[in-house]
Amino acid sequence: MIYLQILVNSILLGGMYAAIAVGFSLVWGVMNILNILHGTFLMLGGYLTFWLFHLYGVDPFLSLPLSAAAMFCLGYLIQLGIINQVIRASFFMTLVLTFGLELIAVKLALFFWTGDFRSVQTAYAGYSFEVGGVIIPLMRLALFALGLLLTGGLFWFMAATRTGRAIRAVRIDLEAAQLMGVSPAKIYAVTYGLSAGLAGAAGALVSAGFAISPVTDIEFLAKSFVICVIGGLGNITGALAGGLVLGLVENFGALYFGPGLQNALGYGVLLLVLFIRPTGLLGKAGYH
Amino acid sequence: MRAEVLLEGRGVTKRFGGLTAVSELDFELYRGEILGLIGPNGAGKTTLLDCLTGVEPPNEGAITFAGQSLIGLKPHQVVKRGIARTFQVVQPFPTLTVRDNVAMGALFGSTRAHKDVRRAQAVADEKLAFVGLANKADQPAAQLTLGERKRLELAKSLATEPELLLLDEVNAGLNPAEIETAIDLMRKIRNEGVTLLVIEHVMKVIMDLSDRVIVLHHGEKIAQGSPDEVTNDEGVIRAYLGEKYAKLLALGP
Amino acid sequence: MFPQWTKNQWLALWLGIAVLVALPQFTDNDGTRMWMDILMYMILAMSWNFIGGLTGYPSFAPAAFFGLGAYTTAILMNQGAPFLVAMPLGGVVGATVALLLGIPILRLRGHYFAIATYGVAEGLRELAENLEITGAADGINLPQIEGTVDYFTQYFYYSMLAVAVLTVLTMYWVTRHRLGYGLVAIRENEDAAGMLGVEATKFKITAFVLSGIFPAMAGGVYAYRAAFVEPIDVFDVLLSIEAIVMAMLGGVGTVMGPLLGALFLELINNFLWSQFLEFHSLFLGLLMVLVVIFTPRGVMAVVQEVRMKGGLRALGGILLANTQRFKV
Repeated sequence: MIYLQILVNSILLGGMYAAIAVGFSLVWGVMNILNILHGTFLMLGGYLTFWLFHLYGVDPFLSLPLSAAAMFCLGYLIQLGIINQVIRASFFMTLVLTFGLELIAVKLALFFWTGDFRSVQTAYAGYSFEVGGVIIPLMRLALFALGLLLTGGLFWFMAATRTGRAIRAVRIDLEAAQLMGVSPAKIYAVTYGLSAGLAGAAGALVSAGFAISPVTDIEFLAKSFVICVIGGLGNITGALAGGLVLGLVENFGALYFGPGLQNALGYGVLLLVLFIRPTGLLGKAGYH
Repeated sequence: MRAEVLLEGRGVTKRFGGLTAVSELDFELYRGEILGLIGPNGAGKTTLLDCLTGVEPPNEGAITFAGQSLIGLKPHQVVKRGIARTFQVVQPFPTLTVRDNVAMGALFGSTRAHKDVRRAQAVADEKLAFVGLANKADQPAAQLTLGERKRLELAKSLATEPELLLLDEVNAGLNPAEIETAIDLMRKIRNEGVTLLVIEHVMKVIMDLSDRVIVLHHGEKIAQGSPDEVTNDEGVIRAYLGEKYAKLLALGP
Repeated sequence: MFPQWTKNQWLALWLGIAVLVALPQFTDNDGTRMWMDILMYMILAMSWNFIGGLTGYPSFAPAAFFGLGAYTTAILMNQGAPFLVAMPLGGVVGATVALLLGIPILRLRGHYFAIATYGVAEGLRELAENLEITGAADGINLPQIEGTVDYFTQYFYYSMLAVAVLTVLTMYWVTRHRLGYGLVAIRENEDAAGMLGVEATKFKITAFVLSGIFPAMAGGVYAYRAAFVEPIDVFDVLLSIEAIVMAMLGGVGTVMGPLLGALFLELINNFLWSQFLEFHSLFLGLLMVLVVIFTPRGVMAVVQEVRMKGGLRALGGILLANTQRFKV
C-alpha cells in the first residue's frame, strides 16, 4: 500500500517539478542561456501572490495570472535591457551575468522582506482527499495540474501561434529567421518573458501549497537544472519527463536512504545522466 | 622505377545510418606524387579524409600508411604518424597570434616532437616564411583575410612536418591570382618531399598539379588515371554533367 | 603567447614575495589575518584559471576541492596526524578526486560541464551534511594549535603563503611550457587542436587536477585555522563564484590576472564594505554584472587599452565599445 502512496506522491511531485522547470527549459533550449534568475522569478511570483492574499485577501488561484503577467513583463524588460547587451558573448558570460543579477535580486528581497518563510494560508490549503486508500493533498494536485497545463499550454503556443513559431525559427536558424523579418532582440525578450511568466505562475501556487523565501530561490534553480538535464532539452515535454523521474528518485530514495539524502540523490542522478546520456531522456542533440 | 606505396586503402566503407558515404573503396597513393581527388558534391571526398584521419572510423575496410594500419587511431595519433590535413572551413585559433597558431602544429603534431616552446616558434617562423605570411606573424589570427587564413592553415599543417598532406579544397573562395600562388606553393611543398592528396573543385589546380586523379561519385571510385584520361572519361562526364552531355560529347566535336 | 618574464618582472615577483614574507612584522594580527584571506582567494582564483581560464572549461568545482581538503585535514588530524602531513594529504585527495572525476566530467562541454561541476560541489555538500564520518551538519572540530596568538596567526599565514607561492610558480611553469599552449589550443578550438596532435583528454585532466590540488591545500589551512569545519562553510559554492569573478575581474587566462583580481576584490571587501558586511553578495552581484557588460576581458585588458589609446580620457570610449561588442 505504501508503494502506491509513494508512487502517487512521486507523480504529483513530478507535475509540480514540471511546472517549476518548464520555463528554464525554454530559455536554455532556445537561447542557450542558463538562467540563474529562474528561481528568482518563481520566488517573486510567489511573493506577489502572498502579498495580494495577505493585504487584500485575493485567492492565489485568482492572482496566479497576475503573477504570471507581472513576471512576464519583468522578464521581458530584463532581457531587452540587460541580457540582450551581451547575448552574443560566450555562454559563460551570460551565465555570470544572470548569476550577478540573481545575487542582487536575492539580497534586495532579503532586505525588504527578510528571510522568513511565507506561505499563503487559505482555508483549503491543508485539505486533502482520499481515493482508494491513497491520500492526495489538494494543493499538490493543483500543482500537478498546473504542471500539465503549463507544459501543454507552452506546447500549443510554440506550435500554433506566430510568435511561437518565430521562437522556434530563431532557435533553429537565427540568420534565416532574421531574413524573414524576425527581430532577435524582441523574440529573445518574449521568450525570456514567457519563461519568467511560467515561473511566476508556478511560484504563485508554490507559495500557496508550500512556502517561499529568498533563500529557496537557489533550490528551485538547482532542481530545474537537474530536471532539464534528466528530461532533455529542445523538447517541451522534457521538463515533464525529468520532473517525473526526479519525483520518483526523491520519494523512493527517501524510503530507502532516508529523507536527508534526497538532494544528494538528485545530484547523483544529474551526474549519472550527464555522464551516460547528456542529452537526457527526450532531448535532441542541440547545444552541447 | 616503381614508386613506393605510401598510403593504401582496401574496401573502405563508411555509412551514416542509411546513407553510404564511401563504398568499398580501393586506392593507392605513391610517395612523392600529387594525387587529385575529385567528384561532384556529396561524392564522399571529405568523408574519405575523415576516415583517413581518424575523425570518422570506417565501418569496413583497411587503411595502411607506410605499412602500418591507421584503423582505430584517434586524430591526434594520426598526425603524429605523419599525416596532416587542412579543412574546407578553416579553423584557426582566433585570439592567438599567427605564429602561435603555427607553433601548435610544431609542438604537438610533429613527428619530431618539438617539446620546447621556443624551438616550436622558430619552426613556425620557418613555415610562415615558406607560405609568405611572415609579416603577419604577430597578428591575431582572427584579423586575417580568407586567403591568408588558408595559407595559415597550410602553415599549421606543414609545422607538423608531415610525410603526407591532405588538402581539402584549399582554393575555394580564392581569386585567380591567389590560386596561382597556391599552385606554386603546393609544388614547392612537393619538392620538399611531402606527398600530397588534393581535393579540389577548381579544375585548373587539378589539371596543372596532379600526377594522377581519382574520381569519386556516390562514394565509389568511377575513374582513375592521368588528368587528361580522367576528364575525357565518359563515366566522369556523365557524373558531372548528366546523361545528355555524356551522349553529346561521345558523338565527337 | 606567454612571453618569458623579463628580469624586471622576476624581480617584481621576488620582491612581492619578500614583502609578503616580511608582512607580519609590519602589521598586527588582524592585518595578518586579512592578508591570509587575500592569499586564500588568490589561490582559489589562480587554480580556477587552470581549467576555466586557460582551458576554457568554466568549473564550479573550486568549492568542492576546498571542502575536500578541509575535511581530509580535519579527519586526519583527529586521527593524530600532524598538520604538515594532513594538509598536503588533503591536496593529494583533491588531486585524486579531480583525476577520477575528470575522466567522465571533461567529456562534457559548455553548460553541461558547468552544471556537472556545480552538481559535484553541491552534491558533496549534501553528502557531508548527512554522513557520519563528516560529522553531518554539525561538522568536525580540529585539534587546537598551541602557542601564542602571534605565533599561530603567523603560522597559518605562512602556511597559506607557501601554498600561494606554489600555485603562482606552477601557473608560471605551465604557461611557459607545452602544457599551457595545449590548454589554450583546447580553449580556442578543441577539435582543431586534436587535429594538430593535442591529446585533449590528457591535457584537460591535468588542468583539472591542477585546479584541485591547491584549493584543497588551502582548505586544509583554513580548517586548521578555524579549528572547525562544517559543510555549509567549506563546501560553499560562493567560494567558486568568487574565484570565477576574481579571475574575470583580473583577466581570465592570464597569469597575473586572477591574482590581481583576487587582491583587488578582497581589498575592496575589507576596506569599503566592512560596515556593510551583509551587502557583500549584493556588491558581488553588481560587480559581476558590470564586469560582463563593461570589461568582459577583465580590468587588465582595459588598463592595457587605456595605455595604448593614450590615457584616461579614452576610458569612457573603451568601456562603451565593450558594451557594443556582444549586443544582439
